[in-house]
Amino acid sequence: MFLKSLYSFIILSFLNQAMAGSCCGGGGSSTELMIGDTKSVWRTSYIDQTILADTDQSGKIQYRPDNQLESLRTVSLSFSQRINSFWQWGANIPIIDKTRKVDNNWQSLSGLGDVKLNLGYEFLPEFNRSTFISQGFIFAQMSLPTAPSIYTTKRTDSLDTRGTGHFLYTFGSLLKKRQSFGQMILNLSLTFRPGQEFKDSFLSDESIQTESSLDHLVSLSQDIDITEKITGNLTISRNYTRNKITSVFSNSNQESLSHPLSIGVNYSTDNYSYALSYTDEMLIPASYGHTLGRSFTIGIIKRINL
Amino acid sequence: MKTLLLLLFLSSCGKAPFFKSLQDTGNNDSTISAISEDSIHTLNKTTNFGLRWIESPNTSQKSSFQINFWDLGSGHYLGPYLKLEKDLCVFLWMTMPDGSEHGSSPVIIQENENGYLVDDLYFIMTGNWELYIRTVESINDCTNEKNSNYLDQYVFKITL
Repeated sequence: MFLKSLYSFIILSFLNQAMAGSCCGGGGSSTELMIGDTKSVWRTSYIDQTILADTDQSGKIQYRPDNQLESLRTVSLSFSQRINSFWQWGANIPIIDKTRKVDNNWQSLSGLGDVKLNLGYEFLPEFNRSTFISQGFIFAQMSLPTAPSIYTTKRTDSLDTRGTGHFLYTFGSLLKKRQSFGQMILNLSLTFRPGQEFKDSFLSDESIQTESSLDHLVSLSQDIDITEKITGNLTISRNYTRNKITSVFSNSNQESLSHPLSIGVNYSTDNYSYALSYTDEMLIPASYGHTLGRSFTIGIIKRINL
Repeated sequence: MKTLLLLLFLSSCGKAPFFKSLQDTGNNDSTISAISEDSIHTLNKTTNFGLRWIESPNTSQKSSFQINFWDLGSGHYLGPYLKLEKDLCVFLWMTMPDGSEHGSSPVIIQENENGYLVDDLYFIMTGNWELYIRTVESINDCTNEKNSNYLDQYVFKITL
């Protein structure tokens, strides 16, 4: 059964990795934890995302004309390593290729995204057999500003803005409920982004002081066992940002909200899992202040069992 | 007759008119919206100005333009031009569809014979830009941000 738990997590961990488009990077967090009996897990994923529209602060959707579409292709390498029976740590290293039109020509630029480090603690082991929650984790994650952002780029076409430019500190909980036909996973997390001063931004001769933000992510994932090796998955998320990184330029704080919906399928062998998922941010209309896109994700996961 | 033709020929020599047609300025369809049909704009009750792109708005290289001001009472779009009593402030601004706002890099303003050459404008991405032409009490008020203090302003909409 633990394999099915892992399948579910594979989809869950991919779901929120797509970055926001345009200039300003994404503030959303992703979580990668081992929830099975493994010594370590190595993941390789490829995400192909296209930014198609934006919603303003009132929720009105505006579709982008052809020359304002953006494509983000991310190859992500990550691992999780068990420290002991309850603790684990991991890292995620994304390489992002960003494409958009520059003077009627599609141009691309690749480079490192924001690297993430995480630490997890299994406070409710699966053998505990709780009647309501089967397994529970708390986790912490730190996102490092290793990619250029709108505040640090030196390119006058800002094609290399792949990150937020900020440190992000995430704390959260992952809860799993086992069912006879599959399982449900609830992911709750809060992300704090401290304000930061940028002295050498090309946007201003003076230093720019951004404001802090406390954001949250709620994600509910339902797995359905199709066969012993194949699992289907449906995930809905709520991704809220209290204060966008460019709010310093506005008269007031700029919020954003999006509801990605994801459907996926997983196939597993003894030591590997293969995942395919489709994520759409445009199906659920209650979004505002956010870029909206669609993405496909392909993942290969190698497990090293205990 | 030959003398008349010679005079006509000579009178057509020299530099091109300051205000060329929109097609002549080298702007493509996406940047024509940056320039209104009459090419004359009002800064305040007494001052008009004209703007001519030297390097049209684009997302790959710098852009630049010449801007000339004249007094409504004594001037004309062909001159004489005036030097502003207050400081000139020019900057780019983008309000994105998702509500995010930001500017671009600070521009360079050089005073020249007729007016001002505004250079090093960088449209750092496609989308809907605003070009702010302002007069400010002090150059310190020209912070490259929309919310800073100003005396008069004119805003061009530019879609790339």
